[in-house]
Amino acid sequence: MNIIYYLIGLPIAVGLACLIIPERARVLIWGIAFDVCFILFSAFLFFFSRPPDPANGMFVWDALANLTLLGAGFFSLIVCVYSYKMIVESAGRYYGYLLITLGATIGAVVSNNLILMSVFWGILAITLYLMINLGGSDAAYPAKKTFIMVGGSDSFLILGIAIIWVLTGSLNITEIRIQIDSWLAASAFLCFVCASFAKAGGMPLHTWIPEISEKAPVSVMAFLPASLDKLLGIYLLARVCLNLFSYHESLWFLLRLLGSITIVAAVFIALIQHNMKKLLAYHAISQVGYMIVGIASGTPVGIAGGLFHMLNNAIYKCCLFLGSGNVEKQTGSTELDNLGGLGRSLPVTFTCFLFASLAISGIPPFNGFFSKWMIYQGLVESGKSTDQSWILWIVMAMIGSGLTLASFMKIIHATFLGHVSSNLKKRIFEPHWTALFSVIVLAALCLVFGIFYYRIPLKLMIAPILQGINIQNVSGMFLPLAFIVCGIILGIILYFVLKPRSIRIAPAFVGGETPAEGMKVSGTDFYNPIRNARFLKTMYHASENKFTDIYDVFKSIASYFTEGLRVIHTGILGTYLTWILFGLAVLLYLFVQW
Amino acid sequence: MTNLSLFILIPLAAAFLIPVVSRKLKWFPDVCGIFTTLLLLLLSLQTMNQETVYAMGNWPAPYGIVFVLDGFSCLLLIIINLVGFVSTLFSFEYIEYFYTSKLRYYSLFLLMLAGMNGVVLTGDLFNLFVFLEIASIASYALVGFGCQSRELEASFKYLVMSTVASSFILLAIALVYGRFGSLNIAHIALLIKQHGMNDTIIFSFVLLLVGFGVKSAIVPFHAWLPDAHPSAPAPISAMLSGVVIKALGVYAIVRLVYNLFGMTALISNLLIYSGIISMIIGVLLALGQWDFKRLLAYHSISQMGYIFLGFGLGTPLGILGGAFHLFNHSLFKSLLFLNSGSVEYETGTRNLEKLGDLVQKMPVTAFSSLIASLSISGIPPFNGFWSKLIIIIAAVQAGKPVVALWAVIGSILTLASFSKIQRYVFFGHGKNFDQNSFKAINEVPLLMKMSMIILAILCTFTGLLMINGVNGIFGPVVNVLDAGPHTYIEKILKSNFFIPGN
Repeated sequence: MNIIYYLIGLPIAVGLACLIIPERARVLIWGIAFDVCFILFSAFLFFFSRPPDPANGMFVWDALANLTLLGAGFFSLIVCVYSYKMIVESAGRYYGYLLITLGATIGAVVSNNLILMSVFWGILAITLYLMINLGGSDAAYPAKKTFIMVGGSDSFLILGIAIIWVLTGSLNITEIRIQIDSWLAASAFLCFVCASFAKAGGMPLHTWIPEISEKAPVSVMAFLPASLDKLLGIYLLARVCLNLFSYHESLWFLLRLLGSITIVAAVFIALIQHNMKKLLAYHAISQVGYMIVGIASGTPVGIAGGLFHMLNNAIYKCCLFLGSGNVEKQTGSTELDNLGGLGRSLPVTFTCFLFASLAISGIPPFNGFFSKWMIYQGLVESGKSTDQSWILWIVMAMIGSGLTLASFMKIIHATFLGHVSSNLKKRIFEPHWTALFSVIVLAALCLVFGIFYYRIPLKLMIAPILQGINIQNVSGMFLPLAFIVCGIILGIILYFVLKPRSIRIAPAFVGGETPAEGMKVSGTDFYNPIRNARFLKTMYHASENKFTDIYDVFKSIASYFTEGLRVIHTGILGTYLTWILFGLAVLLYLFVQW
Repeated sequence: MTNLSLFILIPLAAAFLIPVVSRKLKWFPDVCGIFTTLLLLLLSLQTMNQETVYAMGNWPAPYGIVFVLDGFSCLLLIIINLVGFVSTLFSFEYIEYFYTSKLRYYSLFLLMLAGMNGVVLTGDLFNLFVFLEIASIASYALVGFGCQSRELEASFKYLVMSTVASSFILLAIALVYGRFGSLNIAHIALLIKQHGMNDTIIFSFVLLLVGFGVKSAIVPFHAWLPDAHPSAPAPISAMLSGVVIKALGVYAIVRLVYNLFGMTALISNLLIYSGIISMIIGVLLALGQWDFKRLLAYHSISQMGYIFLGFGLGTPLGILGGAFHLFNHSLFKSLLFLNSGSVEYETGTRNLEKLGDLVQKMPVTAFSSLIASLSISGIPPFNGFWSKLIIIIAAVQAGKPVVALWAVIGSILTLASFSKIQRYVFFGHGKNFDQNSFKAINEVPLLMKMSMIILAILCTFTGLLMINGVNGIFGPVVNVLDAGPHTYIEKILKSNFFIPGN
């Protein structure tokens, strides 16, 4: 039997077994889960250069699948290591779902048959739902919302598949190549985009991510919305844009538009968040915008940038969530108001968090910079040929990047720098080494993928996806790098020149009283002026009242109809009998006409 | 070859035996109920891939009464007796706990079973009506079985509306008999072919559509269902929603449309659009419910819409989807009603706002209901996904992508309302939830658990029928229906008559 069956079957079978093993054997369950993740990750490394036999077109194992699978295996392994001491309750269910998710991810990525893919896609929605529910009964509402949005978009995926089947008579990804020349083909495309946006968190189907961020276990956040769901959602988008459908100007324009709105809108909301995890969740959405814009630029360098950004984002976002998990575990809170000055007691977490923050803000030499740069270049390229509005997309992406840096300054200040908050325990230590280990590995990768951006990720992983282009030629990164290095040097010089010659630190004197908590600069309110700016205030107001939440909008529309229907269902027998007679009359009329 | 009359004789005999014997033997109703339904299930599984016409007393059609077994009736037989068996298994402890008279319960239950088996087997229009009434009257009594005011009110409404429907059907049969002097379905089909449609026939066809429309609770004839189904004991709700509306309603409509009158564009559109309206209205009404069983009852209306849509498309793929969804719906809907029964058994309430956090305390109920919810919402890899997939593909293939879009919207709304159940009953809790009242809750007793597990396993794996079983179970259904009246007439009347060409 083909090796791919085992790769899919092993984690799912072991995952199901984990659900049955008694909760007491936590370490045993962890050991099994770790082994399976490790075996799979090694298998993906092994198959990287020599893809397995695709079983007569049953499976498709190309470079795109390679990239996604390697990422999936890696993040499962990292999250599994991290969870060793972090997940104590219901470990069987947690690791069981984790393994099933991994198995289903492999299935979804390598399936050549679209229906088989949608089956695995559906299993992923279920495990996502169940993993969020591990957060206890408070997580039930966010889990429900997530499930309705992600599962609902799967229904559209099925509709898209049905249309494709009727249009082409084939269900195999490798055989399908559709010219979008009818509204039916366009709606099939939009159905697929809908599924991938819901999974990855592209606007307007993003609202489940911030909702679950506070309630779900943080390792679940790092595992699914931050890494695996991004990989999968963008994988699907890339498949759709690169393989299934050929370029269509106005639809791709629509994608670029949605992508840039996602970047800016999400980052604006992120700026004013008070909770570390929620802030990170909004950035998880904002970053998806870059990937969408990159892939939708339709130019090789932009697509490469989008895929590279997908990988980078998964790395640093996973690192950030796990770092916030460390903070939560050791202090018991992720509310920025309750935190402060943790840099001293959690130095390793702080350093890694800082690395990842710099990476997400696009500061060289971290990985985020290079992928963003490639996306910008892709947009410029697309401007040369077709899209006149490329400058707008670039400006929006850059605004997003700047505001990302701003909001990470806020989070770092409020959490790790500044005064130690009085709400905290006196003695705070770094968490268990397994948790630190995963964060360190991720932070190191941010740096490695930045410094060796061409030699490792681009050349090995991404160039094979876009055969026939020479990324080194088009990337041309020396000049911007030089500018940025100059900028940093200038900044350092300015710092030393303008630095006050002598500093005297004195405790605050408040007439003999102990300084109140209010005197501390917590960082939470950094961007209140933005919040209160005239135009933005209404926007924030709308988003806080959920007018912009597609889920709540549709919910109120549905409940409007429901109420209307309930009014006419009076429970009076006479009315109901009238309906029967009415139905009879209508039928008679129709048949008499005929 | 199975003697088809056994499907009616066995439950009928058991139904009359139970009150006689169990005056002395207290254990008899349970044991007799379970064994009878098990026997029927085994018999019905034996009929798979058989095609028989059984003439009562060797009087050939159209002079005598015939029982016809083909793919479609075989499918229904399996569904009826499978759900019947699982429901009796569940009844063992459940009825003991809530109700007093087991012997009446089992008698009525088996009568209902006999009626339904008769409806799907008979080849005679008047016989169909008789069996329909047997099943209906038994179900009126079972809906009001608790004898409390709400249950009696529901039963009364059901009785009135259903009787109106029955009288329509009877009137139609009388009209047809007056016109052709025959009651045999195949013979009537033949006569219609020979003489063509006229006003009497069209009028009686409309009456039949309305009558069976009420029985299958399609909008706007649905109003009795949300009262009747929740009021019955849980295993009976499972029977009513799982099979009764299908055997008495959908089966009859589909049989008449495909094998008696023949499919036309008007009927096709009628079925499709009434299906869509039911689908959307049913699910919208379900969204606003806070009573566990009432919510499920509204979903029966909505899911009937899918089945109508599938059969209404009229293409082989559509028929396949409709038949498969009919099969799947009977599994997951009866499982959901059994879940609601288990929850009520342990907590004593069906109000979603008062329930909560049961996933730890009742894992079997919680996870089996999760599986059923996923199935009904069309989430892969559970069975509901496959049938909805086929229906959606069939709709697009038939050149009706907008219809497919409505099916997708209905599916999302279904998911929304089942996520609500999962949230308020199992994973989270509502506003009026009292932590202390559910301290001492355990999982339900063994047989109740077993019946839920059986159905959950079936829900998980019947999706695999797509790979191998399509030709085994559903292929014959498609063949029978797609072939139209001509083949049906040929099969039953043999070559005794001249049949005009297709």
